[in-house]
Amino acid sequence: MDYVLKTFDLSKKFKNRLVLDRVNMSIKRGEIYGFVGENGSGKTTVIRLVSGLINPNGGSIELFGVKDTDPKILDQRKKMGAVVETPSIYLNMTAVDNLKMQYDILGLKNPDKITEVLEEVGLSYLVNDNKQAGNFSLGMRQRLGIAMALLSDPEFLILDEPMNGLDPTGIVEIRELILKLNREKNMTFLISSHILTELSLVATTYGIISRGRLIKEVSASELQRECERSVYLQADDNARLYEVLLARFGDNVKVDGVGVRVYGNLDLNEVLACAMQNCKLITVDNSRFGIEEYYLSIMGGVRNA
Amino acid sequence: MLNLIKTELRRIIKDKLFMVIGIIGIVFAIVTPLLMFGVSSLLDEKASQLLGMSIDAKMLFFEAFNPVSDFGLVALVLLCIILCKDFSQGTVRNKIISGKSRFSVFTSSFIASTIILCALMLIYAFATLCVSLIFFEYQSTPFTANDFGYAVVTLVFKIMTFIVISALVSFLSVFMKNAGLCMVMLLAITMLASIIGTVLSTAIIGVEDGIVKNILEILIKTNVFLSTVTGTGVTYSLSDVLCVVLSHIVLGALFYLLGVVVFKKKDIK
Repeated sequence: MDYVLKTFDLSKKFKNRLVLDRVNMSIKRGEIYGFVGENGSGKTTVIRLVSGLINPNGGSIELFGVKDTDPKILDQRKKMGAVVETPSIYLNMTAVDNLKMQYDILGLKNPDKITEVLEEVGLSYLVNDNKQAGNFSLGMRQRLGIAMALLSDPEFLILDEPMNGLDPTGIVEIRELILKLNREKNMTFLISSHILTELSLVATTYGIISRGRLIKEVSASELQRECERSVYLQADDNARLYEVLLARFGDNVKVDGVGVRVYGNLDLNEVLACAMQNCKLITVDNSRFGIEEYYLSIMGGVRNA
Repeated sequence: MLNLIKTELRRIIKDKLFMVIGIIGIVFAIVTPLLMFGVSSLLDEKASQLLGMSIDAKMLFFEAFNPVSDFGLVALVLLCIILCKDFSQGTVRNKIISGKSRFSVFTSSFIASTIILCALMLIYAFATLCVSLIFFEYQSTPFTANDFGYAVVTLVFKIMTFIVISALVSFLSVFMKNAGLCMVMLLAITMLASIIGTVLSTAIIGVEDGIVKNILEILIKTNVFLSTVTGTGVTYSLSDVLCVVLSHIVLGALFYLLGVVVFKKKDIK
């Protein structure tokens, strides 16, 4: 299997506070990896570590098959682009000047790609504009940051909350750009986002992180199956219901709101029989539920753990 | 590395602050000799002798290189702000993410800041010299080949001082990552060293020849931030040259290496 990124027990401490705890994640070539987690869960820390902005306290990273202890990792970083948190742009320069600066950093000769990338991110009207980036809206800065990351034609693009500050049109345009680059150039993406429904429109794999630990990696198709294959139950004694189902079906059982949800490819009759032997069922719902419900149920499980 | 230096130079020159500093430099280069002319015309010969002041274009020219006086301070503040801006705007991330080593990022920033600082100070000093020559003679004695040689060697020493200062600013900028803190630390270090040097220069006058005087002399001559060490005499002895060159190399290398080590370990937000 051709992996673009692998992390092995990746850990990071900030002033003795463990913010990342033995994270093992892997991203295959051509994937759009949706990185999901609440604020402060460690998403940006992982992204910073992968980008080489911070050094790990434990574990390692493998980028395009090269370990971060190998000096060749710098050559591998040339194959990636990243927009980490706020876009890193020169506020006193125009959009074109910003891209020229990135051209110089990358050591590229002819700035002929500038117009192309500005068009790709929907900023073509800035080609001949003297407006400085400091006067751009957050959405424009976000697009310019993406344009700068695209200049080197990266094989792997990391976008940290790319939809932040974008208007609805901008969100659609960036989503379409991601899908186009993935489809036409087989570009691999690592995208962190809070907007799960938005992420679900592009992601082919999800990594769910909470309190510095990667709690689940699941493909979009698996997730879809899990969403479809679940049943929500409520009983007269929900605590008892949770206990008996947990004893029988293990990790497939999660607290979901006031009731209990059982996941996986299980026989519905078997679940119902188990529940009814011990409690009086009030609600049974085996209708499909979305990524947000799935995420919340997992996070609920983590918080309860 | 060349690409990074080019990027750094472009970043600094494109900054509005750079233009402001340029204008300040021009104003200072005109006003300083004018003020000194006013002062010298107010003082009669006796008063000048009593104060130990003999104002000429040579003195104003070499004093223009003083890093802890008028334009020198302004240039240092500019350097602190511009170098730290790379961290505050997060643009340093672009270089790291693009696969540039931290060593080359730091070194390119150090080289670019050295070029800018030396260029600014040289332009300012030569502008001051040009304006000074309108009001004063270069020196009271005729200008000889020896004077030319002395001026060239002094210029080399002054440039070496700015390389050391640039290494110090580069180190402080990666260590502090904050323009305000960087400025405070830089001014504290340069001014303290300058004050200590001035105090020692005064103290040595009453000291008899011997080991104490030799130690004090070495301490004064190796003080990189004391502007009177170079450019205030008519010739350099071998010990002068050795002290100045060695102290600059040691201190410059120390600040540079400290900067490289700190930057390699520093987390970038």
